[in-house]
Amino acid sequence: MATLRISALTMKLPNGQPLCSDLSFEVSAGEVLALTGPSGSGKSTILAWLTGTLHPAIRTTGKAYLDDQELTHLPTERRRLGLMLQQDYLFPHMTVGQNLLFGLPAGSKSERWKQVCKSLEAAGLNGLENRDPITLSGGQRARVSLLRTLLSNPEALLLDEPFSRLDSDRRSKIREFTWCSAATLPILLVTHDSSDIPSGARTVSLLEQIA
Amino acid sequence: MRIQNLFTLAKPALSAAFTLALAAATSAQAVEPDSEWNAVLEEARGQTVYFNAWGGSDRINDYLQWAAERVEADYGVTLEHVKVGDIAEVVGQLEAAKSVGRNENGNVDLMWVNGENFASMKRKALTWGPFADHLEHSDKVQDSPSIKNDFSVPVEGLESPWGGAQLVFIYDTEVTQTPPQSAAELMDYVKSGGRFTYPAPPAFHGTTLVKQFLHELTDNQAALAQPVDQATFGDVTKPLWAYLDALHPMLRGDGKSWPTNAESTRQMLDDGEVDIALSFNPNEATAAVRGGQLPDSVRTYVFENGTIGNTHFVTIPWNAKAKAGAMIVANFLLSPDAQARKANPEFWGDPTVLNLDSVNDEQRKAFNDIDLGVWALPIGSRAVLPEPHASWAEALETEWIERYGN
Amino acid sequence: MLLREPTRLLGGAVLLLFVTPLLAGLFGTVLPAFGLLPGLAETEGFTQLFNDSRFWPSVKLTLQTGLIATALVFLLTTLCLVCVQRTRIWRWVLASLPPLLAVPHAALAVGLLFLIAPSGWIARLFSPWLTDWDRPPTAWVVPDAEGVSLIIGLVVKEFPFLLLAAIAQLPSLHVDASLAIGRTLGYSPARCWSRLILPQLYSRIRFTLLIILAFNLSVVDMALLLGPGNPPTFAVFLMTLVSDPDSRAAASAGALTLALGVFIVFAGLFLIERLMSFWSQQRRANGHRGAGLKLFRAFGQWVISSVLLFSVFALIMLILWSVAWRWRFPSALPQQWSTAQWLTKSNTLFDPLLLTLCIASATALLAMIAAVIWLELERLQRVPKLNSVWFVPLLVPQVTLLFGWQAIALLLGIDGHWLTVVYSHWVYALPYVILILAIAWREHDPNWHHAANTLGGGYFRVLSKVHMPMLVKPLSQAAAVAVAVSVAQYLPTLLLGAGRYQTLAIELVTSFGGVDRRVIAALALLQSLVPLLAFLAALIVPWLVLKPRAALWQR
Repeated sequence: MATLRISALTMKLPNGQPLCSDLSFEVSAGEVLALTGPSGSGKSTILAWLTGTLHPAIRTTGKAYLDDQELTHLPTERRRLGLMLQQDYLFPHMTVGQNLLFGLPAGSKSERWKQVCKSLEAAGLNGLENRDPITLSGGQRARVSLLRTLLSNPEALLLDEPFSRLDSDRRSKIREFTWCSAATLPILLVTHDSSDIPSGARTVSLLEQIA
Repeated sequence: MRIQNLFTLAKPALSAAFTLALAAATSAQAVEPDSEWNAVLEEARGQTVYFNAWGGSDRINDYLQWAAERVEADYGVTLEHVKVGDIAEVVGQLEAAKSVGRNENGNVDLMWVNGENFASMKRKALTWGPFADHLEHSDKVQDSPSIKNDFSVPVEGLESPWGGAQLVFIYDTEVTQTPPQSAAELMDYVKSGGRFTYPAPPAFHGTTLVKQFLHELTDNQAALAQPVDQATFGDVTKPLWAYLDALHPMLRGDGKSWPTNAESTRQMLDDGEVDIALSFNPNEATAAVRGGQLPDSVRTYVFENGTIGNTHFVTIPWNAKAKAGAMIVANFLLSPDAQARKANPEFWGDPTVLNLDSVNDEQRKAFNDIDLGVWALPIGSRAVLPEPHASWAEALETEWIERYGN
Repeated sequence: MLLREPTRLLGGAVLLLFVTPLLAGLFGTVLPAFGLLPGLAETEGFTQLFNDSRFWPSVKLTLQTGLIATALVFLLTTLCLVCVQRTRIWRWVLASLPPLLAVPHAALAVGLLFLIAPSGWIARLFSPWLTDWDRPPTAWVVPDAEGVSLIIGLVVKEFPFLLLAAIAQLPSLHVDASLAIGRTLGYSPARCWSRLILPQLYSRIRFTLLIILAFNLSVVDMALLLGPGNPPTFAVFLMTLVSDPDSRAAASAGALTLALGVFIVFAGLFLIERLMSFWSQQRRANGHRGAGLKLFRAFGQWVISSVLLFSVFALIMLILWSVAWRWRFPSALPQQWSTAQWLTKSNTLFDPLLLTLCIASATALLAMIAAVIWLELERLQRVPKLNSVWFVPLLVPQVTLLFGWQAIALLLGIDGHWLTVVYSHWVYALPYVILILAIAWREHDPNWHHAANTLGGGYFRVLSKVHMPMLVKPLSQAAAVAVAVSVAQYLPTLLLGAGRYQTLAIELVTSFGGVDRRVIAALALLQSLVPLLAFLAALIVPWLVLKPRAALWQR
């Protein structure tokens, strides 16, 4: 199991305003690290930098590692970082099954399909594989989205306010589901809601970090 | 044949390449205009003849398609109809080829011409021959001045006649009981509320009608057979302009907007916007009635003292590649078979250039069996007036545009 | 990132392919105009041009028709927004715009001729029971010498274009809120529009207005069909010059004069804008509320409906004539029907149709490829946003560019090649394709890419499996517009095709008047149907693609 490590990260907006400077931390397998801070403090920007989807106008120095492998020079699709955003981004032109297959590494057709059905079953979503994502409830969508990410075999999980769009009732269920499903991965959680943070998680506050 | 399509269809580059390839392949045995007919037949076999001819009529295109099938089957000659909008542009291309010394393997083997275009080709020595009198069927051609002279320019065997044409008028008997029989009567006719217009020159039919008026109105008919003389042009044409000045304000569109071609006048006749349509084909009304484009009640006539008529021809450029093939095609177009089909309004409906006394009985029957219908110009109608000399067309067009063009 | 420097080269290639013809057109027109193109034009052409007796009359006619038509288009658009928006017929207006926009100019012109001629359908509908005409009236002719028919044609064709451009801007102008505020302050709806909304709207549709103005001053196909012949409009006059090898210099000089004239008119429009804005600012705060005249709104609705119905009836004319056998004045419907022209003229009709389809699909495909390449590079920030460059071919008179292209193509010996023809169509289709797709591309949430990328999807997989399918709606719309643009192209096909490409547009315009009216109607109908079907496909295809469907083997 891998460890996600960020070393000496400094980020500046195009106007020179710093978002963070010389930030270093480590998340080991099975651990949740919560990045907190008010909106605009650059939490999501760090995730974008990690996945390689950062706007090029933002200047950065620093490195990110999965174990000993440096990530920063890899294209997004080869960093093996699972990303969950505020919205579930289920592709509207694909069925639930096709969405899951998109994340799944290549292999034999029937093997992959079996895996998709199995994972849906395990998540209590059996029989949904041929459904249009529009027809799912919010909770089901969130779970499918997480399944899709996990099926892509990430080495670490990056969560950007993943529960903020759910109503409070579902929210705790999905939280539980997430921590259980991804129990063996290093998880970097961006949130401004302290109730999202599981007990025992470490917290890095960006505001304090800059100050 | 001058057709006023603005733009030409250029000859496919492919055909040029093909011609060049053929040029390399065939021997230089080159037929002469007066070669033995058998030698012509032999050399023509396997040749491809590029026939540049106006392509603006479906019926004519279909006719040429039929001719192509026949010459392929009978003589082994491939006939390609290169559809052009205005043959004058082809004359221009030939002139350019001449000036750069391209004296063989030209792109054009046979072309459809008459009038100014022939005059210009003859003047610039762009024709080959005289070949026409050596064609097998040339002995059956009518002995008529309009075939010996093309717009007063002696033909001298440099082009072979293909068909006749005469300016005719089509009217609707349900609207007009007594159609005007002369330029003067036409004036009275429109004065009393008759509806008339004509295509603005340089549209071919418009120019011809203006020539017709000039022929009737001028005091000096003899001058028309000669090339235009700038010194006397004003005098000769003065009555014409006086006539048109008076006529135009009473025409459809008040002499300010004009149809672009004769086909439009036929459509206007059907719509009731005019009472009289122009045509250069004595049998057009028959074809139009049968095609549902004119009512049953139309008839065709010419002015009391006749109307201008002419003959159209085919000619072979001096630098043609397939001269033998071109002769074969020209000869086929003159054959009683081809002429009978051409005279049939079902296919084309152009008067023949053959003398029907010189064909055999069976062939004559083919002509006599053609059902021209009551709508066409009755056989034996009044005289065909000669075209003025070829130079008159441009002079009249220029002056007309100057006076009424804007 | 996967893509680096070579991608800039790709972007450069797209831009170069687009800009080269623009520059070539400029050179190919300027050089012969001054007699500097050996082989084509050896002496300057301005003297011959200005001395031609047709010059001034045609300039006058062109200004008359072009300016009046553009002014009417603008007035109708504002009238429509003020009087028709938020009424019952509004949704009919909305629904009718895209198909009306799709109908090619030439086909619409033919339909209008059948409608407004003295023997046309309008006169027939009211004769003889109302008008007592048992023969067509002689009070007017079509086309007429003053250009009224041409103005009608231009207005009917261009009005939907400006209206659609205006409607596209309405959401961002918060029209409902402005109207609510204005009316609660006691202003009539018309005053709300003229004082609150139109001033903002005008600057946003001004570019479209300029395109329409340039088009109206330089149109050829519609002017050949609906315009007067003696004198013709300036662009048509130039066409007669360019077909004569001796007048190439004069034609080029005329093309330059036309371009210059169009830009002078643009300048004049800017001046009028200044004056109007000064005047309206004076008025804006004068406090006059205006009377909300019901009658005015009813009048506006009536006018707009009639203009739109004109187009619809023009299309009906094409259908009726294409299946008529005998149909004389004053019958409102054909007396005898026949499908003969469809069945027996199949080579006259379907050969051009096939050719048109081939050229249009090639044009659409190439324009889509170029646009997607450019917009992807723009998204990846490899190339800058070049909004205005794409408009250039739409603002320069087509005649001006094309005379130049033709000269260059003749010199290079590439005229008459199908690629040359498709290339010219591409230059006119690409602006519309890019403008439509740019909106979609720029508004598309980048997180879709990020989500797909982090799932392990590489660049091309994400582009083809996620990005393009999700944007299938604008993509199909852009393709349909490209098809419509290509199908309507008369001048490029004619001048660069060396007469060898008998598309529907060419066949329709060149054979008009010479060929059977019923065949003309069938040709025009086919020319309208191709873009209409393309628009229909643009509605259906996204529905097919966007609806998730389980693959067969998954069931």
